[in-house]
Amino acid sequence: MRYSFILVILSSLLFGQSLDSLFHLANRYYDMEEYYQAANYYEKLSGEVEHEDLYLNLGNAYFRMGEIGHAVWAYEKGHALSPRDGDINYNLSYVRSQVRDRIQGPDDLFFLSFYRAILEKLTILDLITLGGLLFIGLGGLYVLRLNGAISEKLGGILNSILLVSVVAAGWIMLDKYWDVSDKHEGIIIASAIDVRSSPIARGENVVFRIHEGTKVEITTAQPGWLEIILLDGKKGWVSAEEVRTL
Amino acid sequence: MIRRILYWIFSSTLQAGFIFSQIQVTASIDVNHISKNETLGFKIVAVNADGTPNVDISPILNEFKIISGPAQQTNIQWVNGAMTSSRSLSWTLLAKKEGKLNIPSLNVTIGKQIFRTNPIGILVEKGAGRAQMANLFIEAKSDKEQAYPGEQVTITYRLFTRLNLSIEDIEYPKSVGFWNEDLRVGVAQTPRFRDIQIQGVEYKVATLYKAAMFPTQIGKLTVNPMTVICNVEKPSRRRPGGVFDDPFFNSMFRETQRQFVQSDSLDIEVMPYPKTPPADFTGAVGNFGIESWVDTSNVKVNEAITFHVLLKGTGNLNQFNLSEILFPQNMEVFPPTSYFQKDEFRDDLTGEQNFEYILIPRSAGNFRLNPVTLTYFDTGSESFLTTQSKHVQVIINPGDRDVIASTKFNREDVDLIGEDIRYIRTQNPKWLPKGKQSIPVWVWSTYFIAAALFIFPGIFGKMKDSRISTADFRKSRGALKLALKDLSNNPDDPFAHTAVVMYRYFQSKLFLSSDNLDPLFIEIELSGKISPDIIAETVSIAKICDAGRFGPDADKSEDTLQKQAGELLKKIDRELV
Repeated sequence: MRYSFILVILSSLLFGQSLDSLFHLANRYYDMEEYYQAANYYEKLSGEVEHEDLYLNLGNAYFRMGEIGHAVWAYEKGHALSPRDGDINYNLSYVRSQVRDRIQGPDDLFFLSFYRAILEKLTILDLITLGGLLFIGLGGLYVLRLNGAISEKLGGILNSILLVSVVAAGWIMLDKYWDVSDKHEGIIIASAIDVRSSPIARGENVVFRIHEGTKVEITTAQPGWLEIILLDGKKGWVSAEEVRTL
Repeated sequence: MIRRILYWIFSSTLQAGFIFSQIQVTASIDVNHISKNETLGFKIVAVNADGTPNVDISPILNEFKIISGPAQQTNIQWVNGAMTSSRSLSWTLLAKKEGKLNIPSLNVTIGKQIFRTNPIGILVEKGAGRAQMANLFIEAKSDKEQAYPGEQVTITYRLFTRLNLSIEDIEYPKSVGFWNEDLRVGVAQTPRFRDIQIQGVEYKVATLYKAAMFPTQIGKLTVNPMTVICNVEKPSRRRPGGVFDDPFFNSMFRETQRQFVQSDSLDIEVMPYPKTPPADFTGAVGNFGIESWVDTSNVKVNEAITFHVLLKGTGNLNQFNLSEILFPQNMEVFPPTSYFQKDEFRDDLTGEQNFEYILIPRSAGNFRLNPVTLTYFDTGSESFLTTQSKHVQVIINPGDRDVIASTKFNREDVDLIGEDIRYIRTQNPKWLPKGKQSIPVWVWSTYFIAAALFIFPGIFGKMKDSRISTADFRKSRGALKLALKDLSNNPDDPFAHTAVVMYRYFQSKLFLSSDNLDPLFIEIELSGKISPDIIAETVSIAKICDAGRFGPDADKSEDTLQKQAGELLKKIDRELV
C-alpha cells in the first residue's frame, strides 16, 4: 500500500499533476485518514473542474475533519450537479441532521411541495432533454397521423397530452433556470455567527445567532458583508468571511 | 541614722539608674484628625531626664493656639528591678486653620543637653472630627478611587484603638453594585493587634476585614460603612489608695462598656470602558491565560472524552462565563462542571478556574476542537485583549461492531448499529470544465429529430407526387414511339404481340393503372376523347387480335395487322394530343 502511494506521488511529480492523478492522490490521502491533505487536493481540483464525485469526496473529507459547514457546502454543490445521486443525497441528509439550527419553513400546499420536489430532483439539462423527447413524440405522432397509421380520435388525444406535457416541461425549465440564475445561496462555515441588524460589528445590534452548516439565501452583498434571509424569513447581516457561497 | 542610710541607698540607686539609662525625648498628640473647633493634647515626654525639660514652644504658635499648659508630670516605674523615670510637659492646643498642619520639631533643653522632638502632622477638617472616637476608630481604606467595571478594588478595614477591648460582633459592609470576594484575614472577632504609631500617636491596630470588590455597574458607587460592637474596658473609678487598689484586683473587677464603632463610607467612581467592548466580551477584567486539553485524544465512537479548559490569572475570576465553545456537531456535549481554586496568599484575586466538558463523539473522524478564546479588559493597557488556547486534535475511531449472526429463521429488520456517511468514489470521473457546462449534442439532436419529423414528411410527399407525375407524363409522351417500335418487330404471335403493344400504349397514354384491358374497357376509356370512327376501328382491331390469338381464322389478316395497328395508333395519338 505504501509503495503504491509513493508511486502515485512520483508519477504525479514526473508527469505533472493531471486531474486524474490529483484525484487519485487525494483519494489515497483520504484512505490514510489524512483528511486535511485530501481536502486540500480536492479543493485544488474543484478550482479547475467539477463533478459530483469530486464534491462527494470533498464533503466526506470535510466531514471527517469536523467541518460541517464546508461538508454541507460540498454536498450541496454535488447535489446541484446531480440531484438524484443517492450517495450525495444520503450524506447531505446525514450531515444536515447534525446542523444545530432547526429552521422550519412555512408549510406549503401539497401541490406546491410536489412541484418543488420535482424541481429539486431535476437539472436544467434533464428538463431540456425531456422537452426534446416530448417534441420527438409530438413529431412522431404527426407522422403517424399524416400517414393515417393511427385513428383520428386516438391521435387527437395523444396530441393534446403531448402538447400539454411540452408546455409544462417548458415552464418548469424556465422556472428552474430563473431559480438557478437569480437565487444566491450560501452555507455558514463559521462555528456560530451573530447575525446583525446592520452591516456594522457592534455588540448591541445582534438580532439572532446561527450555526455552522445552515443554508442561507443571500439577498444583498456589500464589501465584507452579506445580507441573508433564512427559510423562516429571519433576515440580517453577516460577515462575508463566514459564509461560503454556493 | 537609719533614715540617712536609707536615703543614701535610694539616691545612689536612682543616680546609678540615671547613669546607665539614656535620655529619650518624644512628642505625641492624643489625636491626629480633628475638626477645626476641637482641641488636641500635645505632650513631650523626656524619659530618664534628670531635670525638668525646658521647651521652646514658639514654632507651633503660627498654626496653633495654646489653650492651657504646660502641665508638668513626673512618673517613676520599677519594672523587674529596673527603674524608669519620665518627666512630661502637656499642652492643650487649638488649631488656627484647616488642612494638614504640622507640629515641627521642637528644641527641648534638659540640663545642658538639647534634644529635638519628632515632627507630627495633624489633619484638621472643617466638619466634625473623630475627636470623641480618637481612642477607637475603624479605618476604611480602598486601594483606588476610580475603577472600571469588573476591576478589583481592595478595601481594608482596620480597627485602631488605644483601649483594651474585645469585639462582640461585626456587621460587614453590604454594598450595592459590587461583587464581593473575601480575602484572607484572621478570625475577625479575635483580632491580632500590633502596635503602631501614627504620626506620633500610639495605637494598637488590627485588620478586621479585607475584601476584593468588583464593581458591576457604572457610576459613583458607595461602599457602606462597617459597624463593630466592642466591649471597651473602662478605667477603674475606685479611688486610689484603697484596699483593692492593686493590679491583681483591677484584673478581677474590670468594668467594660458596650460601644458601637462605625467606619466611614467610601465612594468609588466606576468609569465606562474606554473603548466599546467586542461582541465576545463576557465581562472578564484582569490578566488571564487559557489552556485546553483532552484526557485522551484517541477514542472510539460513543466513548467519552473529557475536555479541560483551565483559566488562570488575576482578575474577576469566577464572575464571568467563557464565551460559547463550539464543538464539532457530531459530538454530544454535556454541561460543564467547574471549580475555582483561589490563591490565598495574594490580595489581588488570583487563582485557577477549571472547566470540564464531557464529549461523546457520535461518528468517526479526525476532528480538531476549536481553540477556546477569552476576550478580557486589561486594566494596565486599558484595552481589550484576547487570549486563546491551542487547537486540540482528536481521533475518533469507528466503534466495535459485532458480527451480526442471526440464529433465527424468521425474517426481521436489519439492526442499525450506527450511522455514517457513505464512502468516497475512486473512479476517475469525466471532468466538466468549471462553470462552462454545455448541453450535449445528443440533447440538441432530439430537437433536430423532432423538427425533422415535422418538416420532412411534407417534403417527401410532395417530392414523391412530383416525381410520379413527371414519370407518367414522360411515359405518356413516349408511348406512341415505343409502340411503333415494338410493332416493327416480327414476333412469333403477331396477334398477341399487337394486342400487348396496343394495350401498353393505351395504358401509358391514358395513365391507366389496370393491366386487365379488353376491347370493351378501351372503348369506354376512349369514349369522348377521340372520334367514334377511330374508336370503332380500335375496337375492331382489338377484337381481331383477340380472335387471332384465340380463334381459328386469325391468319387472314396476320400480314396487315401490325401495319393497321401502327396507323391506328398514330391517328389516336394525334386525336389525344
